[in-house]
Amino acid sequence: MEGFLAQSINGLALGSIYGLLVTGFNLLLLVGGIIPFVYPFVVVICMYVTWAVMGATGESLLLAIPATILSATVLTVLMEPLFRPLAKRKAEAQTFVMAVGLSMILTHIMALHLNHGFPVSFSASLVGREAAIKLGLVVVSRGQLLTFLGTIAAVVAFMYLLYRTMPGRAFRSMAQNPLVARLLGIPINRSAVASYGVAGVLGGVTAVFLAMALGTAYPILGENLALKTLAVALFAGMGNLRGGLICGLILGMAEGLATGYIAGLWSNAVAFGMIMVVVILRPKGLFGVKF
Amino acid sequence: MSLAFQNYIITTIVFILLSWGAYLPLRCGQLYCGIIYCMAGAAYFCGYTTTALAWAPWLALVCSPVIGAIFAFLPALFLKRAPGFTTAVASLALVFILQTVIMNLEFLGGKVGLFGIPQVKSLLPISVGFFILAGILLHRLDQSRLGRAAETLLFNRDVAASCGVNMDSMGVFLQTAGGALSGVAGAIFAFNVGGLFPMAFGFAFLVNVFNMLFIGGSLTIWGPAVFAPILWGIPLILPKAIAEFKDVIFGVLLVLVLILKPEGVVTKSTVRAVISSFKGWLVTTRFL
Repeated sequence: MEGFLAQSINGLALGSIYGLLVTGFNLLLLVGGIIPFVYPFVVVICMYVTWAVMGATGESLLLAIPATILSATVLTVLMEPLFRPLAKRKAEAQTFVMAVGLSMILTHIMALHLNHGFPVSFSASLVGREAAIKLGLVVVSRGQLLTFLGTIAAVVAFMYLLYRTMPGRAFRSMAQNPLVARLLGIPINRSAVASYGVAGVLGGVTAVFLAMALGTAYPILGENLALKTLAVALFAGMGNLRGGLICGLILGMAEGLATGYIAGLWSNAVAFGMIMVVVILRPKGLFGVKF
Repeated sequence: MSLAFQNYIITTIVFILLSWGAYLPLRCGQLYCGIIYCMAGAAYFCGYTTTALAWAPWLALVCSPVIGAIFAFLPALFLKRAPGFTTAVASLALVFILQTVIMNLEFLGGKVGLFGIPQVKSLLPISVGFFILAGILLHRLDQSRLGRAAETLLFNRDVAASCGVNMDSMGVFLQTAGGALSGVAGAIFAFNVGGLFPMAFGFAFLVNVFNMLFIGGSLTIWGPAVFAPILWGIPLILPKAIAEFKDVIFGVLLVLVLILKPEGVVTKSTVRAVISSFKGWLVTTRFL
C-alpha cells in the first residue's frame, strides 16, 4: 500500500508538470495556430538557465527563478516571427516540421555547448528532498509539494487571465475565429505575440518545477518531454485546455504506477500506448478537439 | 572504390529510400513518421533471420519490403483518415513503442543490440538496383491516375472526394507503399552496419530524413534524390570545426526553406525546366 501511495505521489507531482506543459502547448496551438513541438525544448534549455544562474549567484533562487521565466518568455516570443508565415498559410504539418528543425538547434546547443553536453544537477535548495508531509512510511517531499501546489497556482492564474481579462478574451476570440476577431478590432499580430509571451511565462514556471521534480537536466530530456506532451495533447483532444490538465495528471499517475509495478523498461511505452489507444478508439481525444 | 565512399553511397541510398517512403503519404497530405518504425522492423527481421535462423541474406533482403509493408499496413487501417498532425504523432509513437518492445526482448538483443549480421559482398550494386527500381516505380506512380488522385487529396480533399477518390484506401495504400520502401532501407542499413541498436532508430534519424525531404523538395521524388547526397556528404568534407555545427546548419536551412520556399528547393517546375534544357541541349548537339 505504501508503495502504491509513494508511486501515486510521484505520479501526481510529475503529472501536474505535464499538465502545465500541455497548457502552454495548447495555448500556442489555439492562438498561434501552430504545433509547438519545440516548446518542451525551450523549457529544458531554460532549466539550464536556472542551473547557470544558481551557479553564478551562489544558489540564489530569487535571481534564478525570474531569470528562467524571462529567458523562456524571450525565447518563445523570438520564435513567433518564424511561425507566423506558416500559421497564416494554415500549414499545420509544416509548423510541426519547423518545430522539429528548431528543436534540433536547441538540442545541439545543449549537447555541445552547455556543460560540455553532460547532465546538470540542481542544488538541494531547489530540489527539496526533505520531507514536508509524512503519511506513515510514505513521505511527500518539499519539492513534490511545492511542485503540485505551484502548478495549481499557475493554472489558476492562467485561467483567470484567459477568462477574466481582455487579453484572455482576445486569445479566445482568435482561437475561435481569427478573421472575425480581426473584424472586431482585435490586434491579431500583437495578440499572437502576447500569447507566445504567456506561453513563455508558463514554460519558465514549468522549467523551475521540472528542476525541482527531476533534480537534473540533460540534452535529450527535451525529446522525452516533447513526446509526452504530444501524447497528452492528443489523448485529451488537441487544444482542449481542461482536458490537457486532467490527462497530464492521468499520464503522470500511469507512468508512476508503471515504473513501480511493471518490470523492465515497459513504463516508457505508457505514453505512446495511450496515443495509439486514442487514435484507434477516439481519434478526437478523450475530451474532444477544440482546434 | 574505397570502403568509405561505398559506405557513403549506401547510406545515401538508405536516406533516399526513407525520404521517398515519407514522400508517398505526404502526397495525400499525411506527415508519416512511421518510416523509421518500418525500417527498424525490417532491419531487425533481417538481423534475426540471418543470425538466429541462418537465412541467406538475399532471402531476407527480398522479404524486407513485405515486412515493411506489413508493419505499415496494420496501423494504416486506423490512421488512414487521420489528419496530418495525428498521423505524424501516432506514427512517431509507433517508433518509440517498437523501440521499447525491442529493448525488452532478449532474443533481439535487448538494450545491448543485435550483432553479427553477415556482410553482403555485393551490397552496393544491390542497393543501387533497389534505388533505381524504386525510382522508376515512383516515377510511374506519379504519372499514373493513382498518383494524380493522391495529389488531388493534397490540394483539395473535397474536390478529390467529389471526383470519386477513396481517401481511406488511398491513405492505406500510400502508407503501406511507404512502409515497403522503408523496409528495403532497413534491410540495406542492417547489412551495411552489421549490428543494430534500438536507440539508433529514433528521433535523430527521422530529423535527418525530414531535412532531406523538406529541404530537397517534398512535391517530387527528385528533391530527396538530389539533396540526400548533398546533405549527407557535405558534413563529411567540411572542416571539423564547421561540421560540428551541422545540426544547427540543417535546422536553420529547414526553417528558411519552410518560410521562403515551402515546397522545397527542387520543385516540379524545376524538374521540367531541367528536362527541357537537357532536351534542348541534345537537339543543339544534334543527338536528337
